Amino acid sequence: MKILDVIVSFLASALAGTGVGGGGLLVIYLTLARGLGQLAAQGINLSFFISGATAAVPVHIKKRNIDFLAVIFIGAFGIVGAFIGLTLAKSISPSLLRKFFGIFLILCGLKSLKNV
Amino acid sequence: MNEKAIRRSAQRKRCLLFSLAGVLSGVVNGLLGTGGGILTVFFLSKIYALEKIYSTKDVFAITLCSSLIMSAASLVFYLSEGFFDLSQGAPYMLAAIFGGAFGAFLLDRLNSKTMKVIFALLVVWAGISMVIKL
Repeated sequence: MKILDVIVSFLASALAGTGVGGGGLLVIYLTLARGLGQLAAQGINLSFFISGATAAVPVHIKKRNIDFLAVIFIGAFGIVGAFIGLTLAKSISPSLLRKFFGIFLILCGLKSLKNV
Repeated sequence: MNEKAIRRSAQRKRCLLFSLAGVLSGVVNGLLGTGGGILTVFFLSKIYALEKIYSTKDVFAITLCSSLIMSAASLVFYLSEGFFDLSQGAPYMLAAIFGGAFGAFLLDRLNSKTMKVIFALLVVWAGISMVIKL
């Protein structure tokens, strides 16, 4: 474990802890700087996100106005969606879809920046 | 229709929208491995647009809580498929505990406008990395 690993993990999880998400920063770091495979990097990113989010959630529950109905419905149906997505990923190549979604995100992000 | 019935109908509609947001965010997460949380933020902002009960910061916090449930299910899948070993992730998980708690406190200190700018930049960044597949 290098010192850089600790710094990257801390910064990415701080970003994730605010709720804006880590943007897959750790996945990029693990694949490019540490030479890990995509799936292993995504798995580590998942476990990393879970521990960071678990530490952040009690603070949010105490300080923020949480709509628990939204959390339960989005979370539960999200699990259903994730399994549909994973099944789809096995049968179709997600690379083209990733590009389309990427363009969609860029447009949404630019629109949000304009509105701020 | 009395007030109670109207309220119940609105609640039902809202639950339906939450469910739809959950499924779509989950599909994107499962298919692309990332981007689900961004979608949840967009959906929640639209669903809460008419009410002033939930602030931008609340939306981020609600997204984080629901993402945690989704990600825990994905983690079970990744581990059962043997994509990685949990011991590989342990050091990163340890650093993330401190980072996550720090991030939650940070949300309180930053103003909503700054949060929106950070989020928008992160969305653009995620989009670019998806297009050129970093």
